[in-house]
Order: sequence, then structure tokens, then C-alpha cells
Amino acid sequence: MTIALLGNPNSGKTTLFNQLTKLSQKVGNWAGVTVQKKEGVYHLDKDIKIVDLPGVYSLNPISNDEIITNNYLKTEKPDCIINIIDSSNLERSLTLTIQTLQSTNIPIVLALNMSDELDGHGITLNLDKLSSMIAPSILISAKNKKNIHSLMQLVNETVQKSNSEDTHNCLYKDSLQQKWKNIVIKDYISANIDNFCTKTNSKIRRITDIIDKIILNKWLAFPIFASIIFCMYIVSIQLVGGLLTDTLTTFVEDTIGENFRTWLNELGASIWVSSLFVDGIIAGVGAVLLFLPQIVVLFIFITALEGCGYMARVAVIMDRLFNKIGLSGKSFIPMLIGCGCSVPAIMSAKTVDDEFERRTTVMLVPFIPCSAKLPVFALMAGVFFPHNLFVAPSMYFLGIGIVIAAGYIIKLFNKNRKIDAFVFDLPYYRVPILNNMIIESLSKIKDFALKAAVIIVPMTIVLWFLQSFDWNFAMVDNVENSMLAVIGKSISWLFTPLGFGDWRVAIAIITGFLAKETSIATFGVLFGEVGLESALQGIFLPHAAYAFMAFILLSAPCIAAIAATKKELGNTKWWIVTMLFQTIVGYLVALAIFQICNLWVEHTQITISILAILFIIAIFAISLKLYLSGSKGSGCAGCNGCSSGKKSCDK
Amino acid sequence: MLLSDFKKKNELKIIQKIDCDGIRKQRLSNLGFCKGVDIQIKAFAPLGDPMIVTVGGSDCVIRKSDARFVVID
Repeated sequence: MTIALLGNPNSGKTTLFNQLTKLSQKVGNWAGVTVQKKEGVYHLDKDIKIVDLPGVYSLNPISNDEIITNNYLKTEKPDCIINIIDSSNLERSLTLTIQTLQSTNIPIVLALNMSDELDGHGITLNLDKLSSMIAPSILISAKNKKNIHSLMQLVNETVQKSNSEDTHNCLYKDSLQQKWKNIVIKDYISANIDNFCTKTNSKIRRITDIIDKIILNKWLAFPIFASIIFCMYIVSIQLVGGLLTDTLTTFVEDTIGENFRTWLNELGASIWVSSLFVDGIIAGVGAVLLFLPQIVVLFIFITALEGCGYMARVAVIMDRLFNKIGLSGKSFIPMLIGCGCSVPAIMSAKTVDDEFERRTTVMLVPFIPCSAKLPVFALMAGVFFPHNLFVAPSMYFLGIGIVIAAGYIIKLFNKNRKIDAFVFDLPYYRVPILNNMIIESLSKIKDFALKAAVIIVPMTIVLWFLQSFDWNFAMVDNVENSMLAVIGKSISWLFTPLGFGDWRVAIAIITGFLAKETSIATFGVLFGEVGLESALQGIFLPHAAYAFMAFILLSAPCIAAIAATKKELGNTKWWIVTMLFQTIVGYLVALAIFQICNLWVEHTQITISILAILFIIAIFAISLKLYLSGSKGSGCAGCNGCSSGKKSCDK
Repeated sequence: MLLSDFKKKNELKIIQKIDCDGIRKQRLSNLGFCKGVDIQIKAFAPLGDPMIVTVGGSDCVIRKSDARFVVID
């Protein structure tokens, strides 16, 4: 049996879905679009498949979400539809219900969610009337797990009843659909709403109004916002991230890694086997998975802020600023999380509704310096600019500056993009439930960890292989003789115009893809920890060091973030475009920094510098042009986020 | 009068017309912006845009650029 969950956005669909499926869910995309498709089985009866449809207000095929929902109901014919309704907003929710009754003859059950808030809203519902006039109805509370089992029983009864009616009277269902066909939805609802519910003063509404007066106050809004974010950072990045990650690193590398190596050697495994496991897989996967604790904590915070209704207010507060660069307030949250780690940041871009804005957000987020890039900045700034306190923080300004510049340019080139109305529902404040928050965060993390493993494990093995063997496939003691060194030497010329054309730097950049702070470890291996400082000073000019920092900041992020990007974009072509875009921006900015500084430092190279700068501008213009022509094509395919302004797209 | 030009908070008005079509009209009507519905401005964002309105009993966020399609009395 297949059951589809249908309902408005924010009606508690996801919470109900999580309660019904208990982490058995499979997440994918609907064919051809990046809208998420979630499926699972009912945890008490594995024969019941549950499909979570996108949240929609109507079935009119206008946006991707509605087209998908409409097609699914028409072609896949689920056995039953559970229509989740926000009890405090019955009037608006019934539009979708009646529209569904009009267009399909699939049996429907109404699940009136958030029944725990009915008292607070002063609402009384007449379930008998709803059941007799519209469809079998039941009060539930998804977040308090109330009546979930009864809901499934009601679904069962309804399906059985509809099947028996089917054999007795084939025409019954058609006549039912016919009855609804002739109804004008708006008139029907306004004529009957008083039968279904009675309203008195809403306490929840009064409390929401009071809190909003404070939170959205002209003077208080930003200080409150800043302090909440500050707390979130202190706890997740400093406390959990700092302490736990360091402890875990030592644990994984020294305790697990070394003991495993000893154990393998005792078993008589050859050196390369133990090296593959310890230096390759454990070290590589460990480096990425060690970030999981802080990602989990960050996610719990974000889910809590989302659940209590504050994130919607953040979108309100920040919208004006982000509108200037063609994004909306909803893109701010990913940018903010990006200061901690790009991975959860990219994953949280899901909350951005518009496809174009979501893609742009995913592209821009890695420009924000994440915590793994900080050790690189700290080392380089410490060695080359020991008396200048502003060098390391300037990376934040550079990152934000590039986000604004790139966002603004993308907006300029997409002038004709039709912006859908930016209107959304402002939820009431609610007290989030810890248990639900943890389940919700874990389901997001689990999903990421599985997908990431598919990319991370092969990549770490390849890197380990290149690092540990020479071209005769003999194991090397020193990286200097490895294949990686040869590769480094063959591509280092690429970085000569940037001021760091040394093959060891090229290797550090390659290993930086594993995790950005690995670049530092690579320097340590290649130069030796003792003479590191003077060795680096021998390779880099100070402004070349700064260009290197900029390149590390802006070029394509680490493997984990690359995996998250692929998952969020859901489209290989866009994924490659994004990686190229980021790397090209990183390259050009580093080139510009080095060459412009050269104008001051070495007067002899003026002609070369000017040529290089012209080259930068030309490349930048061409790549943007290419990027934007690509975005037009893709915008048209789904007829969503259309940027070409062609009449033929306005279906 | 257009909703985008109206500045007074907490004053009850009635929507006369939604002056647009296509996706925008659908989006607006999804959230309750329809002819004949009660509307009042609840608050403005700290930077002045967007604004929060109470429409048909529930709160919605709307940018001024969209509010100019909402005609009130």
C-alpha cells in the first residue's frame, strides 16, 4: 500500500513523516528537478510505503512543487492521501483539500495537525461535520506523537471501505468526484467554515505579537540577532568543535590508526596494505568525519531556531541587504553557517525556495572563510606578517567582498530574471521539542554522511596512492619521489603568475582538497617542522603569501563540501560549473593581488603585470558570460527561475 | 491606494484588487491575498523592507515591490 502525504508548507508534514518512518527514509530527487523526494516505510508495518510530497498551497501547475504533486497524484495513484492540515489555519488549508477532491478519486484522510495548540488559539473544531461533509478527519499532534497510530488505523479503514465500495458500486467514486467538480472552492469554504470551526481570542497570537514587537524592533533587532549567533558559535565551534574535535583527532590518528597499523603488521600484512588503511582511509575519512560533532551541534541549533520560528524573522531582518545582490533574506542563514563549516551551510541552502537563488547561494557560500581555513591563514600571517594584526581578519572581508561582488555581477547579468513574488507565511512562535530536533538533525547528517562516503573514500585512496608510490609503483619513503611530486612539478607553472610556482606549494594545494588545513600538514612533511618558517620565507614573497591565502580561501572547497555541493545542486553539470567558477575566481583574485602588488614592489615587471591584469579582466568577463549563458538554458528547461525573459517560457 | 504606499500600522483595510497575474498572483492568493479579505500592517522590518501584514487572520511577509500589486481601499 502506498500513502502520500499532502499539505501546505509548514503544516508539520516533515515532522509527521519522520514520526511515521523513524529514519527509514530514502532521500532522492524527483525526476528532472532538484526538488527533494522523500520515501519511507511505516515503522509498524513495513508493507506501507509513505511518500512525502512537496509542500503546496494548490494543485495549479505553476511551480515545480505543484507540477510534481499534481503529476504524482495523477500518474502514480497512491492508495490513500493523508492531507495534513494546520488546525489553526483551517480556512486556507481546505482550498488544497477540495481541489484534490475535485481532481482525483483517491480516498483522502484529513489529519488536523497541531491539535495541541487549538486551546491556545481559542479554536474549537467540529470533526463530525468535517468527516461527514468533506473526508474522514482526525486530530493529531505530530510533534507530540499524539494519535499517530489512530491516524494510520483510520487510513486503513478508509482504504478498505473504498475498496469494498469499488466492487459494489463502480460509479460511486465518480459520482463523488462529480459532486465536488461543480463547487466553487472559495464560496464553498466561506459558506461552510462556521460549521467546521469556531474561533475566540487567540492567546498564542497575542504572545507572538508581543515577541515580534521586541525581536523586530528597529533598534533591538540587530543586537538580539548578533547575540544569538554569537552564542551559537561559542557553543558549536569553540566548545564542541574545539574540544571534541581535537580530542577525537588524537584518538583517531594515534590510538585507532597506530594500533590498527601494529595489528595489521602482526597479521603479516605488507607495509603498503597497512599504509593504505592507516595513512589513506583512516586519516582521510577521519579528517572529514571529525567535523561531524560540530556539524551535528550546529544543525541542532539551526533546527531549533527554525522550529521556534526565529529563522523566518531572520529572513525578514536581512532581506533588504541581500535583495541588493539578487538574493533574499533566506540566503543569509547559509552564509552565516559558512563561517563555521561550508558543509552544513551548503546543506541548509535547502530553505531557499527559489531555484536560481538556491544555486547562487550554494556557489557563493564556500567563499566565506570556514574554520578549517583558519589554520592556513594563521600560519601564513604569522610567518610573513607577524606585526600586522589585520592580515588574517582581512580574509573575512575579502570573502564577504567576493560574495557581494560575485552576487552583484550575477544579478547584473540576470536583469531579465523574473523574480517570483517574495511572500511567505510568518509562523507563530513555538517551543521546539528536543527529541524531534535531534531526529531531524540526525536524518540530515545521516543522509550527508552516506553520500559523502561515496566521494570521500575513493578520493582519499587516490590521493594516498599518488602520495605513496612512484611511477614504477614502488612505495616511496619520501613524498618528494612520489607520483604526486611529479604531478606537482608538472602543474606548478600554473601558479607562477600567482607568485607561488613551487612544486611543493602545488602539492599542498592538491592535498588541501582533502581538508583545507591539510595544506599546512603537507608543508610540515615537505619542509620539516623545524625549518618551516625560513623555508616558507624562501619560497614566498610576502605578497605572494597573501595571494596564496586568497587562493586557498576562494578556490574549490574541500572534498566534503564538494560532496555537499553535488548533493544540493542535484545536477552534475551545475556541480562542475560551480567548481570551475570557484577555482577560476580564486585564481584570478590571487593573480590580481600578486600582480598589482608587483607594480609597487618590482618596477621592472610593469609590462608583464599590466598584461596579466588585462588577461584577468578578459578571462573574468568570458567566464561570466559562459556561466550566464549556461544559466539561461537551464532556467528554461524547468520553466522555473526563467532568466531569458523569452515569451515562449511564460507558459 | 496601493499597499506599498500605506504606512499606518494596525489600521484595518480591505483588499480591493490584486493587480497582477501569473505566478505572482497565484503566490499571493495562496497566502490569502484575495479580493475582499481584511488586511492590516503589523510591522516593518528594521531596514524598512519587507513588511509584515496580517491578512485574513494570519501573518505574512511581503516585499514592497510585491505590495504594489495589492490595491486596498
